[in-house]
Amino acid sequence: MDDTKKNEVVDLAMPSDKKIVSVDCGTMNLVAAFKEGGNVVTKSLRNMYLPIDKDQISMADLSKIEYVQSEDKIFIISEDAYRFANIFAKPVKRPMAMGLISPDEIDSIDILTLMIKQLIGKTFNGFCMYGVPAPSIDSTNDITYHKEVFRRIFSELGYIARPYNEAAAIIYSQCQNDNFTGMSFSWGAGQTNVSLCFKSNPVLSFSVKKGGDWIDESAARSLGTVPNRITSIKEKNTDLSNFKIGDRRESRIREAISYYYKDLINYVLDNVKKKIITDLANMDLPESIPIIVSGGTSLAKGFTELFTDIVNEYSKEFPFQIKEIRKASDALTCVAEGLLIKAYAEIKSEEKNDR
Amino acid sequence: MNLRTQEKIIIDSIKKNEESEELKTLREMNSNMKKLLELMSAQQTSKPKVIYKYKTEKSQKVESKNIEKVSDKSSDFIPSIDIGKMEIKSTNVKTSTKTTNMDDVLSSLENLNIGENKNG
Repeated sequence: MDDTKKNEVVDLAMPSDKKIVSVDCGTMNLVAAFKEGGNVVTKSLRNMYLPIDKDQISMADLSKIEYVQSEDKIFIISEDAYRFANIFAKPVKRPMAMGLISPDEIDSIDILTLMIKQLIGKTFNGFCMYGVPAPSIDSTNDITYHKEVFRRIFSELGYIARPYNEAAAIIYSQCQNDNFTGMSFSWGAGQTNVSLCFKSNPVLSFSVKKGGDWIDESAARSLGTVPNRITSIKEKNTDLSNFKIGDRRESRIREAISYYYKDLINYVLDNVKKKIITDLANMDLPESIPIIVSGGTSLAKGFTELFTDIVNEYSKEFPFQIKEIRKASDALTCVAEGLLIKAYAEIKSEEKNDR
Repeated sequence: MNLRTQEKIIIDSIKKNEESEELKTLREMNSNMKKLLELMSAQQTSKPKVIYKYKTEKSQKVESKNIEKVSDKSSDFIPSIDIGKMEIKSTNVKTSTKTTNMDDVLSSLENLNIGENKNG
């Protein structure tokens, strides 16, 4: 029997039983969060796919991998796409680029819809808080199209959807003990997002167009290889304080990765400094503020130490003391967790106002 | 809810010139019913079975019911070339669970003294 004939379960919740979820729409990972009993459950999928002609692969090869098919093509989805791309030395297709829906990939929206449906399912009475980047200060990108396409995807799945800044969401999940005050850095694949929040209110939010993909592409260009290869090595035991790991070829790649990491951190902090000078000059901020580090690009060993060293060079120009620099409890899921808290907070507040 | 009760809710709301909670609930229920009928109608032309899972108003217990019985004959199924209609066949979704006291976080948020926020 064709697998597409499998049963589909649709929640027909009563009006009072809203299905509340959140989704972090990241360039590299799609992460969903929802409440289950007293727990918060997160589910994630790699946000990528690889189209291949049907005659290039046998159905037996596909038995254990995640894919969808059209008449003439097979679309290998998520983590499997990444593995196959490395085997065939082909670049994966990415539904998103630089934090936004990719204008280059015609199938992007369909693939995104499929993956999101896999993560949160369909309902008739849902509410979804989804993460969006802040506008970039170093490019002319516009987030309106991205925001509205995601809203449409969630709406097709039965959710009333509301966007919220992804870096500000980190404060909700990581700064309860700091009165929801802090500066968060979301080191993503497509871009880096920064937000400074005071008592949960964002007072400064922006993004820059450089992130983990920029490291991979720059290192690949410098060494004449494909970015997938760099990503694969970068995600495997990268230690930013010691690049002499593996054979000579691998060691050279790791050396290049560590240089571009430093360059990325300097680039982001230069922009933080500029924004603080222009936007926060007359603001009365708390004396000391914690800095939270998150995002897939921050998972490299030694990242927080390297970031702390570089921040210390800039800290004199910040209008506040840095209380501490700490890693998020989970760099990959903290945005989705924060968005879920924000979702519940908004619903609670709206219910209160309705009374 | 029978038609007479529904009619009463609507008339009461018109009389009072305000949207009552009952009317809101009625509107949402009707909207759900409309979606359900649309889905059932769509399922008559495409073959995969749909199991509707819902909570009854009285018991609040989750019940599953096979509302529609459809043919499983593969000849009845016309594959779509629109990938938007396709399903992911298997799953390797990564899942993790954390114990989070959401009520505690929400009450901390509520207790924030927003008035002190000098930045508005």
